[in-house]
Amino acid sequence: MPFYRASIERKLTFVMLTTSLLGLSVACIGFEIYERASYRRAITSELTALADTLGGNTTASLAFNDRQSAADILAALKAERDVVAACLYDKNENLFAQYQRAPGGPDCRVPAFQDSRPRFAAESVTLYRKIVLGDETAGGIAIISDLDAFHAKLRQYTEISAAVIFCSALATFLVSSRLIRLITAPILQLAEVASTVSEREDYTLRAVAAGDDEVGKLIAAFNQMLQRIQQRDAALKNSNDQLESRVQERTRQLQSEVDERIRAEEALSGERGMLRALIDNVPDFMYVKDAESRFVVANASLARSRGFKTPDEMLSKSDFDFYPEELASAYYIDDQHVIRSKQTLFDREEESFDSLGKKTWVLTTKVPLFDKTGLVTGLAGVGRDITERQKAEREMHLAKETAEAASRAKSEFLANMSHEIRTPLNGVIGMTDLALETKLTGEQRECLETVKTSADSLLTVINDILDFSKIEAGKIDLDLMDFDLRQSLEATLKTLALQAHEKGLELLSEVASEVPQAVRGDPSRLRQILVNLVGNAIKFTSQGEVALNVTSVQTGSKECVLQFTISDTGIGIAAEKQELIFEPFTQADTSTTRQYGGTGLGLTISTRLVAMMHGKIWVESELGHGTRFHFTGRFGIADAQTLAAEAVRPREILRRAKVLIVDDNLTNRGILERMLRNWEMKVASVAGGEAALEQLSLAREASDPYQLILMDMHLSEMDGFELVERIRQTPGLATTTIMMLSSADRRGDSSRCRELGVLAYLVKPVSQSELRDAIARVLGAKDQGYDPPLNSKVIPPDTRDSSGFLSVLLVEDNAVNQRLAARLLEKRGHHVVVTANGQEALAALENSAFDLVFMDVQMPVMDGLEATAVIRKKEQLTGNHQPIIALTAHAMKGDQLRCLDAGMDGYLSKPIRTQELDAILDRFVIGRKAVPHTRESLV
Amino acid sequence: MKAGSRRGLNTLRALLTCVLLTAISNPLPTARAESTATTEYAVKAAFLFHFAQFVEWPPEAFKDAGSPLTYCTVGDDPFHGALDQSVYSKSVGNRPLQVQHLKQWQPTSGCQVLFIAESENQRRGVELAGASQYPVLTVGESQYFVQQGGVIGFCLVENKVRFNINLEAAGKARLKISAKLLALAKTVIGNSGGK
Repeated sequence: MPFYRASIERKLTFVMLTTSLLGLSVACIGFEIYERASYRRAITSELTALADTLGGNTTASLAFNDRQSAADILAALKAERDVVAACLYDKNENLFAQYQRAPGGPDCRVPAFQDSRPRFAAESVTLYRKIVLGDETAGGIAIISDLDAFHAKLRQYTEISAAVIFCSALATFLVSSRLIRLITAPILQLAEVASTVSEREDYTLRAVAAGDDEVGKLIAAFNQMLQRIQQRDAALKNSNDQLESRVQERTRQLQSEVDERIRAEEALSGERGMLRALIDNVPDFMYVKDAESRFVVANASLARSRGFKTPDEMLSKSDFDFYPEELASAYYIDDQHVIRSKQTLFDREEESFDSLGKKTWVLTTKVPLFDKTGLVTGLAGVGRDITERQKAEREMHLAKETAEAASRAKSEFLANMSHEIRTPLNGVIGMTDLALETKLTGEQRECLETVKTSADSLLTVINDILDFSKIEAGKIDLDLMDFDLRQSLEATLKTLALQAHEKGLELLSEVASEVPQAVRGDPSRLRQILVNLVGNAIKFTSQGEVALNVTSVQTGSKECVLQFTISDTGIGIAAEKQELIFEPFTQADTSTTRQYGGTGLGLTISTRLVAMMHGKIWVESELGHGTRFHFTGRFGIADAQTLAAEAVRPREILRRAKVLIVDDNLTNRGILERMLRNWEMKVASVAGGEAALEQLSLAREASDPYQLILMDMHLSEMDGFELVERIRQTPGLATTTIMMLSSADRRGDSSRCRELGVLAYLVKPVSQSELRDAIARVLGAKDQGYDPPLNSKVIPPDTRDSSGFLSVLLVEDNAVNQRLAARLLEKRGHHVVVTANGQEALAALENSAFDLVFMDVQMPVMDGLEATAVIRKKEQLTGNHQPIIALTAHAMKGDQLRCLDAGMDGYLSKPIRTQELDAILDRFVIGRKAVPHTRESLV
Repeated sequence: MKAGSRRGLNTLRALLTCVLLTAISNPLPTARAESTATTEYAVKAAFLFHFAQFVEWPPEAFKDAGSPLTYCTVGDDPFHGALDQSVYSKSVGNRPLQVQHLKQWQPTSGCQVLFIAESENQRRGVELAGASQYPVLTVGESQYFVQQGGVIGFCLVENKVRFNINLEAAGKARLKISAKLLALAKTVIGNSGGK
């Protein structure tokens, strides 16, 4: 628009002109209109007045119908130059008279209207007025006047207006240009400065200040703004510079960051490459799937198994593309479960097939993958082909079963072998024993005793071999129980003391005080080891001593480690042999002379047993300077109180029993007295045989006989046996119970004792417990259910109270054993019925009652366990209880339990030891009541 | 063009006007004879009415401000009710108009306008004399009515009803007659110059 481009002056001028013109025009027009209107009004009123006047004047004419006078009156209008025509109408609106200024001009014959408003036409104005006479309308008068004057006036007016407008416009124009400058000058200047500033970007320029009006303020503000801009520019420049430097700095930083990033990415890429190489070279399957179970990552192994060259061919596809539907569905279900439950699936064995189509098993683990918000985005999976493993597992399982079968076979073999070997040997030993009990010539006795010795040795060897086999087969376990260590050691050494004594060696033992009283372990195995080592020591020592030392290496609250040292002053062991001796079947001296005999297995067995006790065994020795064997073992610490409790019981039996001690040694007498009084026995003691006899008689006469005589074998005046004979010969004293204490176990002593009816024969040194137990047994503690351990040689006499005979059923298939056992029993005065197997035994039991049944375990047709079971079943109905004792050659752990589980009341292991047999028999003799046997007291 | 057509039109109008005027000023001859007689007295009745409009009576002419203006006829009534018709329910100057037909006028008759008919010829002089002092507008038809002292006298001129006015008589009767009426009279006597 050109207007906008015009300068401000032009604009203002234009505005002013326009305004003034407009104003004037409006004014002029307004005035003109006003004039026109007022002129009209004027004309109207003039005409009206005229009309009224004329009308009034013509009332008479009208009333009296005098046209002429009316015309005359109207003719007066000539004076009115403007009036063009006038018409007078009568009351009927007919033309009455008229006037015309010029003939042929407009006329007003017919009044077209009735009201008295003037009608303005272009050239004329017509006015009609009613003429009223009195109350009536007499007629009307219409006057037509021309508007020339009017027009002329108006024209004049317009001309003047135009002239005025023009002049004023001119004046305005001229004046305004000057006046405008007042306003525009500062503005233009400002504009100039602004454009210059903007062109040259020179903010130092300033506009000239101009007054206080708005423009002036604008200028001031403009200047201020420029000032500020300048300042800001400066500041900006400043900060720009700073920024520059900072940007440079930052760029450098960024550059280094970028470099680092590149490095990191390279490293990452390298790592990724490594990782990729890793996962592609791992034989297991590795993959990542998205939430729809499509593969996102797959490793080469997986791809190969599916028959693809590269893993890329697997991406974005799912299991359904690679596996048949049943397999893929299973995988898919697992995937979805992992994704939904957000839990890892461990070690799922999946069925699959390899690239050749063969069925495989894959062990798969799937782990859910989470994004930052904790949503599951997919899963990672690892799978391993375990087909081989499974095969191996199966094979291993098979092998295990085979091995177990083999092991079982071995066990059975051992068991059988044990039985097969022991049975005849049992026969040999048993028979030999029986033979030795008969009257023999010296020569016969010598032969038989040799046989016995050989048989015993053979039994030892066989036992060793069997033990060794069992240990090798892993069939040996420690039978843990609480026991008194010191007592056990004493008992063990007791048996060895004789050997030592025979060779003239001192057998010493010392147990350190910190060693606990009661321990938990396997006393019989410990005994075995000690017997072996001490026996060896005795064997290889010709003079001097053998000593056993026990110390505590470690004591805890529940366990302790004890060290046993067996030292001797024997021949010693050469250094090079010290290792070998622990090997099976080797001995220190393998030369043919082999003075010392032995199987060579003892140490090996001991080594194994020590190992089972979690200990070590080693030797210190020097050829010719004696030997020291050490071994350690771990034992539990048992409560001495409980053991002691066991110890209490016999005292009950011993209490108030009257006993006479016969010993020439004052000290011994004193010791014995104290011991016996401790057990609340009524004790008297004498020094010699004569005194003893006297005491006995006195007591008998007083009707307070002695229940027991405890005598030492070696008395000053007469030896023990002599005294015993004297007692037996004294009437009234014959049946007195006698116990013998001897310092040496001489050959024949035991038989002599038996002959004389000495019920117990103890070899010194006698431990308290041994003595107590023996006394208890002898005094008949059996009926109180206490069967003390048989750790001493207690010779049962074969002369018994006749009322003590039992009716015994022997069930044994082996003829030799049958005869042996029967003989043993009959010797003791019991009535024996022999049957060969379980079935016969059942039949026998149907027919008659027996006090006791000895049942062999291994028999044809029906074995002992089965027969016992049948018997016990029957007894459920009858409520009876038939005492059944098992005879078993196995002696393996578990055998005992099996027998007891089957319902047996006790057991004897073959070869039958007569003490054990007697113990059992004694139980049933006294009272004839079968006492159910508790397991713990069985040995 | 406009001016031309306009002139044409105006000429036409002028022509028509002349025709109409002629028509108006010359009533149709057919009903002339009959209506002439009737018309004459109708016109005279109308004139009588109008005379009241141009004449001013003195106050003592009326009883009071509201009393009517009475037209009286003496003698035979030539109007035959035309006068009654012409003033019927009209008023002049707020006075109602009434008509009395008298046999003989008395000053107490209360007339303001007294029309002495032609038939009263004999007596008209008496009446005139009698009424001349009273404010009564005496109107007559005889030839020399006004000379005899009547105020207004009808005359027929070219078959048109005209009248003459005796100003002196009017003055004597204390009546003012409007100039307009005077202007219309055929003759006016009694003023200093006469017409």
